[in-house]
Amino acid sequence: MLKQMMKLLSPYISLFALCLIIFSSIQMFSGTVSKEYYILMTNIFTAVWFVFSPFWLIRGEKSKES
Amino acid sequence: MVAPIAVRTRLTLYWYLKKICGPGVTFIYNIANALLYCVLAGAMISVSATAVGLAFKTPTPELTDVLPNSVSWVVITLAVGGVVTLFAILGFDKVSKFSSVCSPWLFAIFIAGALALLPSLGEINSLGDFWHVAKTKIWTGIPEAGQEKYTFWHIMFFAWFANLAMHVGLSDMATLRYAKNWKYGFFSAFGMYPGHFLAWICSGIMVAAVARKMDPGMMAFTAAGLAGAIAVVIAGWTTSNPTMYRAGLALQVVTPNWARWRVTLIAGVVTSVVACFPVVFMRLLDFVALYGLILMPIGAVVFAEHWLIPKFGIEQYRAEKQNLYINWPSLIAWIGSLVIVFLLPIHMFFKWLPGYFIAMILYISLSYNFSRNDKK
Repeated sequence: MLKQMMKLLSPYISLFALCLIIFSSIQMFSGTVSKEYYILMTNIFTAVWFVFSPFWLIRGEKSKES
Repeated sequence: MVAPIAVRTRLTLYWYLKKICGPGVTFIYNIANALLYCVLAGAMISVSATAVGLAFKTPTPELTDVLPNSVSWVVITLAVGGVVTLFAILGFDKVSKFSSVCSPWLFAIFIAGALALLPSLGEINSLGDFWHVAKTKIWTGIPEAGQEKYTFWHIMFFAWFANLAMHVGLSDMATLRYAKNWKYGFFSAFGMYPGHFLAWICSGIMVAAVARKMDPGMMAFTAAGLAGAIAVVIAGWTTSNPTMYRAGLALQVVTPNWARWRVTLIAGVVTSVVACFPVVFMRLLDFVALYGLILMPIGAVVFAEHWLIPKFGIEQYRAEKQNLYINWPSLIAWIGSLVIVFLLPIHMFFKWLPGYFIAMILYISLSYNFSRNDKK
């Protein structure tokens, strides 16, 4: 049940995290946030990406080695 | 260029080369390919080492350095090389899965890093402001000391050169042979061209923001903190790992009785030693151009054999049909075209285009003469 839910939600969560990395850099570009805040957000959303993206980007079956 | 041949033959370049050029030329090609792959993988290990070195305060070599500048640089590079070699020995499957997770994130970090560092170059409130900053701070047209000045044409030709061995050199037959139809080749082009251009534009901005210092690790750390430094390690690792694996595969054709792990280990040791010399990654552009140039004539020979040789009424696949060890027209066309292009008084980046047609003309005319002699 939990695994199925993760599979269903993980693309949305991880892609949202990726968008937030870009968004925080846009905030930094426009001068609305400090560099420390932007770097903290980038690190947090990077962690979110690496936790959730393997659920949908890595497929179960073993691919053939070329 | 690659996809139509790959889809029609359903072969890798190595097998098709054996059919066209004979086992002798395939042997030489594999040795050349393996050595060039080792140097390329070594350059990417050096790039990763610049980021790992940040944690140990290791000074990154200067743009003009040829030899390693410190013991700690050598130790870190060998350690990174050791890890990459270990993963290459374990196989390509896990690295390829990990790469598929990293690619979209690397793309985002590149864009984020460039956007975040842009304000440090000047105030930007409009497109006009950006253009002004771009012209005066980023792409000034003034090369660094000891570096060449590149024009638009240099960049355009280098964009071709960056993956020349894969498309014009036909190495991509290995993957595109599985494509349902030849149009799948456009996917590679889409990744190669916009991907490269975006990466170059972003890295241009980031390098300008760190006072043009050629230190990928430090630059990425400044642009995106720890995530940036990790991005450099991963980018270097995911590039060097399959490259080293390919080098192992190419060498395995030469040493068929050796286990793959043993061949990959030797390739890994050579690569790690090469990586210690900063000249390899500081002159990466020249090396990539040389790498593409050396393998390009083989692409021309295969293209000519596949599409043009039958049209000229010349016997196709002579090496296979006559059981030849070396198809001399292919070897002469390969070496001859390289000698001619090296003598041409034009910049390295422009040499491949005339070289491609020279190799093709040489191969067709020599094949015509050889097949006429066969009939006598």
